[in-house]
Amino acid sequence: MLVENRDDIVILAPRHRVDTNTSPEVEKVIFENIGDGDGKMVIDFSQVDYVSSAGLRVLLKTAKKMKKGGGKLGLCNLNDQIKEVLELSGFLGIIDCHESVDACIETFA
Amino acid sequence: MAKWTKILDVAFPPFVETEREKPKGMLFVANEAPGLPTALAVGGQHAVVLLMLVLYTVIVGQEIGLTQSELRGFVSLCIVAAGITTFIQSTPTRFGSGHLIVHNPSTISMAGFIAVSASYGIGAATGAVILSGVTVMLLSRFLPKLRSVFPAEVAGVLLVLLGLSLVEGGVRRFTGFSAAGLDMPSIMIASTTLFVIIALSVWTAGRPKLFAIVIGAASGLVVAAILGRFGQEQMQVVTQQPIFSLPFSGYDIPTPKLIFAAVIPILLIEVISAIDSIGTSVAIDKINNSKWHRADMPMIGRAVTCHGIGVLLAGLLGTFQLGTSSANLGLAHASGVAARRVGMMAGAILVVMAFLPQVSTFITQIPQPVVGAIVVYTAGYMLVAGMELVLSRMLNSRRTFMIGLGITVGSVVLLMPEITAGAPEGLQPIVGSALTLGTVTAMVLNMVFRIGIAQSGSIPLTGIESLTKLTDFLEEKGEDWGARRQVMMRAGMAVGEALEKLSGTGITNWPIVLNVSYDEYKITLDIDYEGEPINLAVSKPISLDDLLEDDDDDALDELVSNVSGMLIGQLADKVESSSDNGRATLKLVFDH
Repeated sequence: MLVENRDDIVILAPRHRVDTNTSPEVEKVIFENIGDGDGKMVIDFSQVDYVSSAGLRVLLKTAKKMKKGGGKLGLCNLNDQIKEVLELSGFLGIIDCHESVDACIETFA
Repeated sequence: MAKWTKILDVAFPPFVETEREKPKGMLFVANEAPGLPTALAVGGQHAVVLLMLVLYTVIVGQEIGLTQSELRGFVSLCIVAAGITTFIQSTPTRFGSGHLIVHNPSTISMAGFIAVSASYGIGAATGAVILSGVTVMLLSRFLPKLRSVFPAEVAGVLLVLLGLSLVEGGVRRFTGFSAAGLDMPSIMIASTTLFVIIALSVWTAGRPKLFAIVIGAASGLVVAAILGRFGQEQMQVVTQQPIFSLPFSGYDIPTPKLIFAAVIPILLIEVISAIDSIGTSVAIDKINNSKWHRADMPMIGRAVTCHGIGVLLAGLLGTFQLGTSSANLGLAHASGVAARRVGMMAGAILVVMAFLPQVSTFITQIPQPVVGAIVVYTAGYMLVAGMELVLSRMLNSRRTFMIGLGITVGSVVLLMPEITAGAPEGLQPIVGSALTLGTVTAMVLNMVFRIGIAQSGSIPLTGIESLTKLTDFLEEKGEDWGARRQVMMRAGMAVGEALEKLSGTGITNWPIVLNVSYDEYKITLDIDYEGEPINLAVSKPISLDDLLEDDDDDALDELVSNVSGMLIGQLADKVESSSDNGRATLKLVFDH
């Protein structure tokens, strides 16, 4: 997973699939960078083909931590399958999803 | 009565409406009924495009030495046959495809008809045409059974070759190319026509799009008039014709004769022409359906039956054979209207036109570069549609060779015609046809490469970590079967999701076995394991706000479990779960 810091914003870009096999690694990297959940984080899905329910669990845990810490979380570049998983969970209604990393960052301003 | 209906059902199976999804950009698809003004406007354009192609009948009539009044009857009867056949073809009956397929004088049949008429008389030619029509009708009954030898990729090869075979004739007309080189006025006329058609069909919607071809043709005609390529000379030919004339007047329909030597070449050519009609049917079916997955063989069977009816009718009326018009496919695509009602209207208009020689003659005088522009537009569409079909399935090295060699063999005939020039005369219609040779090559290779491919398979899964192995297995099977990539992906996701769900709660003993089976219409995956059956039911609804506030992860786990069950249900078209004596089975079925 690629990790980039742009000013005070952490941009994380997982790759290929986020499922049972890969989600522990994704979770590890996210929680290494999340701190107390009071920062700003973008998760870029441009290189992800598929998110399973195990991947969704990691995203929900991340959102929970960010909400508690008062931080800001944004997702971007979601393909139709990922949008569907988020929609089924109702997650689309509580988290900001954007077309690009830049669009996501703009909303943090 | 019931007995006769049964016999009729076997000989000519009844019409069944295809399930389809309207593509973006299409205004009316086959089963939709545009209003009368739209049906008239678009049907009229189809009739105009067809009448431009009636020039072939004029050439045939001249070549077989008909007098001016005989020629008028010969051409008018051909238009009547085309109109009636187009009408029947568009009807949702056991004798029609229910698609907007327009029948035109068959270009590939020209040489055979002229040669036979010259050697044995017109009666021998029409006798052979009648017998060919009946033969094609009989052969069409076997088409629905040929589904496995005519998969989507072979249909794609057929369309690509159909597109390629339109290129030479289209470009020759477009450029006016001859021994003297390129003809600039022709290029200007054709370019104007093509530009207007593309501009109207791409950048407009509604009325201008509906009239794209006719406005394009009119623009080309204006340029032709300015450049002196359309004017007094052409109008003189028109005014020589009577305003109204019965199609039968002036031409004595010859008595059909059956002469063996005359039957063979015409019969062979008609079988090849029927393959051309299969391509046209696949193309119009694809224009009508954004979710086109496979050749609708019963529909193709009916389309070819009607092709046979058209040939039979043409023979009975003592005129030249009919085929199906590719140029009209371009019109259906450009106008966004492919409703069968328009086909019926076009057929009716054509029959009326047969009584009005001045109108039909005027249209045959339209400069060839205008026709060339329409054919070039159609060739472009056919090539892309064919490529789409080829790439709609997963490919492995076997299927890559099947497609590649099919197109290569067909292209050889087009690019290097001298290679087949030395073939015996009797074989010329077959080896000289790119469409036939290329498609038959692809069909034969498809059958050869199917040898040894099992339609089912199984894989042991040792745990949730076998997901990568599972993906590779499904990919390999999908390529062997030529399955749709999207369906195999969905299957992989659903099994992955099921394994995630079961690994925590259901499966007590690994390894488990996953069985996969395939037929053209569905893919079935069975997971048989020791343990509890999967629970796909949604437990109590979870409030996301509460979940985000919770200190522990129980609500989160419950929500994820709910989503997992919903995902499996959404990804698979059918889910069955059962258990017996501590063993459980999960069956996932995917429509293909």
